[in-house]
Amino acid sequence: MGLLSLLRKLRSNPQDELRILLLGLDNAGKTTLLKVLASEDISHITPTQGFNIKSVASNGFKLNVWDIGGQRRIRPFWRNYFENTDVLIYVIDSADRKRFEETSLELSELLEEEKLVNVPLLVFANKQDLLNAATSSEITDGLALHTIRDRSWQIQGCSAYTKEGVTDGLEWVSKTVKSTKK
Amino acid sequence: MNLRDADSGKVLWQSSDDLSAPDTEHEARVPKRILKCRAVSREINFSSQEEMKQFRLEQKVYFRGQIIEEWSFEFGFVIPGSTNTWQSLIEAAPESQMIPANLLNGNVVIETKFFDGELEVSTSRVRLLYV
Amino acid sequence: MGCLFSNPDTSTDILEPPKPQYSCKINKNDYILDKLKDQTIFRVPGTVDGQQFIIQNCENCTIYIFDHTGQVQIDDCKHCRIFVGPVHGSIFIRDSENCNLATICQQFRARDCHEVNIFLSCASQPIIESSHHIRFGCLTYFYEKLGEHYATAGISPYNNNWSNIHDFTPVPDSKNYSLMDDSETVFKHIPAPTDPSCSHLNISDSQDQTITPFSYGELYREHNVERCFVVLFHEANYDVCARELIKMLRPLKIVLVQSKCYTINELSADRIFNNRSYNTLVTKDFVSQNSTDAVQQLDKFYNFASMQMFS
Repeated sequence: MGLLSLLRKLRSNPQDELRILLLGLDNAGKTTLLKVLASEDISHITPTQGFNIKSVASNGFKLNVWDIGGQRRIRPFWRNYFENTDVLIYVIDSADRKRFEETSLELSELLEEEKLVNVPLLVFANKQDLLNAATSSEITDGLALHTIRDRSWQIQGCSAYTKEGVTDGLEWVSKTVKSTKK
Repeated sequence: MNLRDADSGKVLWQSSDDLSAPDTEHEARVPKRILKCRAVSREINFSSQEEMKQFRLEQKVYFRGQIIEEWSFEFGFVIPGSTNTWQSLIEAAPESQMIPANLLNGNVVIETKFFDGELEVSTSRVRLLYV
Repeated sequence: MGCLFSNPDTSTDILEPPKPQYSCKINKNDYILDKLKDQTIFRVPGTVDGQQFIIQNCENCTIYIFDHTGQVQIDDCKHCRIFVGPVHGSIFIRDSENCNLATICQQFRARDCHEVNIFLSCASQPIIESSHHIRFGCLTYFYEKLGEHYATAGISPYNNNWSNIHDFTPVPDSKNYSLMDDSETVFKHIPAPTDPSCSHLNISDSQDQTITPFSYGELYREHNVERCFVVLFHEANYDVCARELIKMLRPLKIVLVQSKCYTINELSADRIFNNRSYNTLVTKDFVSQNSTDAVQQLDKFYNFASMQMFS
């Protein structure tokens, strides 16, 4: 399922604009995921030095996905993109265990942001195809996701590279948006 | 700027010319088959040394001088020293409502204006030739 | 893939049964080098075979990975010499100092590093963050199977952006990085392995044998000298032709600034050459007619190439 089919599914939704924010540390695979969602080639991706946006519009319904670079230097700018977010997708490099603490810290700061209150959270435990990848259950414990009480959330193991798990994550987004936005 | 078949992700047309050069009308030679695509995406890349707070664009599509389509997009904040991309995906009109390629050829101009707040930052005009 | 977890309080999802995990018959420790000191380690072709590789907490080690890998992390290393064969994804070096690294990758990233020399063949724009005294040089390297490993990792030896660095944390009036010219060689910083089990690999860093052509990149980009733009159209032996041409130019003191290998469609060809006769992409080589044309064509091609990188 790509962005177009997500849009086609959501078309019955009365809300006329949907904003998805894709965040995570640098090298997590955010841009690769975004390109997979748009069925584009993922073999030549350059590290993001700002943002990448994909907008889909049809019959007055708009879907915007924002992928913002994750380098430590530009993370303080993330807050400029929080406004009106409908779904937060947080991407983790499951094979980068050295930075689990760093990514956990960034996520917990995001969850405390006023502008993101109640915004549904999908965690993509990306790079499951790599040898050293932690499972989604390990990551769930590591990030203490079970303690989240103020929003619906989901963790989805995936590999943007092999494309496995990506559609499942998007299915959850479409179900969640439909149930919360009625 | 580039145009893709949004279903396959394949690039149909791209240009790396500085389309923001003022007072110049650029030409884009676009394959006719773009009109057969169920959806087309256009992508714009831009870099900015300066921080911008209310960056937005307005895109107008003219057919023989008449506006046939109008878009606007609000980027909001632009990170200083950043390179950014915006891709917008447009679903094609039903075939019955499509203007045939031979009528469109040379008669369609896409005008893109960038603003920071109310301040116009740049304008570009691209004339489409269907080949 | 993986397990699905839902928050029972707010989600109406049915828990899906966990799908089978990736089988892990291989020993993870073969792909992680941790806390080594004063050692020389090498991996010959076929032993890593596209897996992720991790090098961490090593001191004064010499490490050679003569194979292709999926993703590489180098963390908290000091005084190490490291060669890593083609990386299909990213190589990320962090919290390391006084190291020498030579590698081929799709993405290069560095954070919190200092005093590091990097010989690079990188398909996208290399980036650094919170790092200083980083020196970049163009990789020149050969070992048996390197060409194959390039192809398996999906990287072209002709698309090398070693010198076009993006610094996320620039400092005013100075640079956190500098570029090395060909007076610095890989072997000067990372000597060839002496172990007899590597001898069959015929390892070399010479410009005559290297799979990655030596290019001056940003070192020469702004030089105000005569420039020429040469295109080799795709045919079975384009690689041999390109290598032969580069070899012929060297004694003539003609330098290669940059090479690129891309699929160009007819419309792009029209734009770059300003000449419809190349639209059919005949299997004929293209050389600029004069230096003014060359400058224009080069600009167009550079722009085209950077678009390819960002789109």
